[in-house]
Amino acid sequence: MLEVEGLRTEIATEAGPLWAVDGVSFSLAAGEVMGLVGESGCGKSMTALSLMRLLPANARVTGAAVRLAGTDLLALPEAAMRALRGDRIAMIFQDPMAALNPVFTVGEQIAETLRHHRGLDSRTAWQQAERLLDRVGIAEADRRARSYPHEFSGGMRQRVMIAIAISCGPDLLIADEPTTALDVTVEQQILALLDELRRDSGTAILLITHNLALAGQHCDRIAVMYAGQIVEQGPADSLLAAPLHPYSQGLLAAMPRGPISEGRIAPIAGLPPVLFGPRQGCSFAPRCPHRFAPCETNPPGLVESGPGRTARCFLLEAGAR
Amino acid sequence: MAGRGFVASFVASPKAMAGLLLVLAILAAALLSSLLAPFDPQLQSLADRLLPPFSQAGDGSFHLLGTDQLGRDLLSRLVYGARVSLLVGLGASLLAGLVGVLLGLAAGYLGGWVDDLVTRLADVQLALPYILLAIAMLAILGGSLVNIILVLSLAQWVTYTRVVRSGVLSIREREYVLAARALGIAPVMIMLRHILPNVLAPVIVIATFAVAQSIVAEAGLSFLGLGVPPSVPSWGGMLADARSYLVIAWWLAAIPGLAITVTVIGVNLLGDWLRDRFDPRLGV
Repeated sequence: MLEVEGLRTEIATEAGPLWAVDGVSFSLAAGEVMGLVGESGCGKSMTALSLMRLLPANARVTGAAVRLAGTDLLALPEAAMRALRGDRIAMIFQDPMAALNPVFTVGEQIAETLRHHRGLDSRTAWQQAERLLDRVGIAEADRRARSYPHEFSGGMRQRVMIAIAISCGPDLLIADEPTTALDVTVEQQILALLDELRRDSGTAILLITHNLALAGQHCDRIAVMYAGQIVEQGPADSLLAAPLHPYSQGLLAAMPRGPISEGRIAPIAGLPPVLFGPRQGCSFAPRCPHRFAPCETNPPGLVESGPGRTARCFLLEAGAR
Repeated sequence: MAGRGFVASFVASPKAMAGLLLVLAILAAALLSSLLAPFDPQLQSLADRLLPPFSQAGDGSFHLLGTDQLGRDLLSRLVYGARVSLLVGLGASLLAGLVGVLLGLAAGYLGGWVDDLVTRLADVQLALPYILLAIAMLAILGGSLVNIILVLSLAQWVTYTRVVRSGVLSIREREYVLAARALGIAPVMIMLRHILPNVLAPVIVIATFAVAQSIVAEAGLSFLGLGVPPSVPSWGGMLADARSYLVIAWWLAAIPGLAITVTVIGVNLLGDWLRDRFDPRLGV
């Protein structure tokens, strides 16, 4: 379905080109949910925007192949890419409060996409919009379609965003921290809805989140990102059960579990690096409790370890664990 | 916005109804002036000059609003003057608004060389003294109604452009614009459908004030002899003529001044309602 090979995205800054995404590769099958996990600024959102080709003006993709069902997205002319957006690839954003246009009714915003991509007339598009609202679990869809975004709660708005995103039955749905702005109970409802959608329609979902536990519950596979690279990738269960990369281990140790009195949260000391150009050694080395000589000089490559699992660490390469 | 309940919400708003009534009254005066005016607005009668309102002329004819310094009926001139004033006021603010808004949208959304070009043009426009430009243009083109509208638009477009551009600069970074792009909506549609309605509120306010400004500016140009010919009645021209008689005939200035005020209030009330209507959060 989706194949990404060696995606690199540079942001032009006054200090020179910043490598926001550096050689990200992964693939996603139809109906599969992959979690892209990492802390703020690790390049998760830049990866998503690179796939959509919606990067800000000062950023550009410098080398990669992104194939959606065989089509190289990065080689497409802009008009063809525009035809794909919203139709074959859709995206849900972090803040449902800001992602809906305040001056249009929600029904109108769903119908617009249908008119645009499916060429439906206004009536049919509107009826379809009502059906979609019903589909994402909004009661009294025919009445609510005529409401404006400010008349909805955050969770309802995210449902509307999902209705817009799935209106054309996309092959790939990119959900960029879809529940960060919502409270925990609503978060579970929204993720359950996404789960249901991919089971029904076979849409592949790229779930971007900073919450490793959440990714564990809702994803088939998890890719952990650090400093613009995927440092570890594997099936959700086995990755969470036994993380290979020290960074994944650190993330897991930093997660609150059980009653607070039972254990302490162990933070990862230090801050992620900002990359200007090729890296010297492992990016995580300054914060890594297990670093040894090779970490300082060469960037580690991806090492396969176990079924479907890869990680970027010299510990694995040396078999020193 | 326009659609369900547009008419209903209009009728329910006393502000909108009052504004509409005032504007309709002025419009009626302009359109039906030949029917409404009791006298020929050009007809002079030096024997009956500077008659106060509610007075009878020597020949027994009644002048509701009195006569001016040449004995012309003020009511007739006022009614005919509505034509020029409305045309200039609405024409100039609409033309300037259209051009200014489109340039502001393009500059703000597209950025790059388009933005550079438009902002440079706006700077040039602001650096030139408006009255100098008006004198030069009208001297070359001649003082016709169309030329006055053109000159006034030229002076006003910058205001719209600057306000719209700065509005667009903030709106285009909103997530819903990114979301619209992520849905494959073309840039032109994003500008017109998704951004424009969100920057329209200040534009409507500017436009309503611009109507008043244009009516008064036309008066200024007519006063300098650059506007419509003095024989053609216009509110601005009447106001300018009245200046010399202010001490002895207050109504010559007060009446066209009142007409301008009423028009401006009417347009403002309509504009206020329209602006609120464009913001669904106010629930008008």
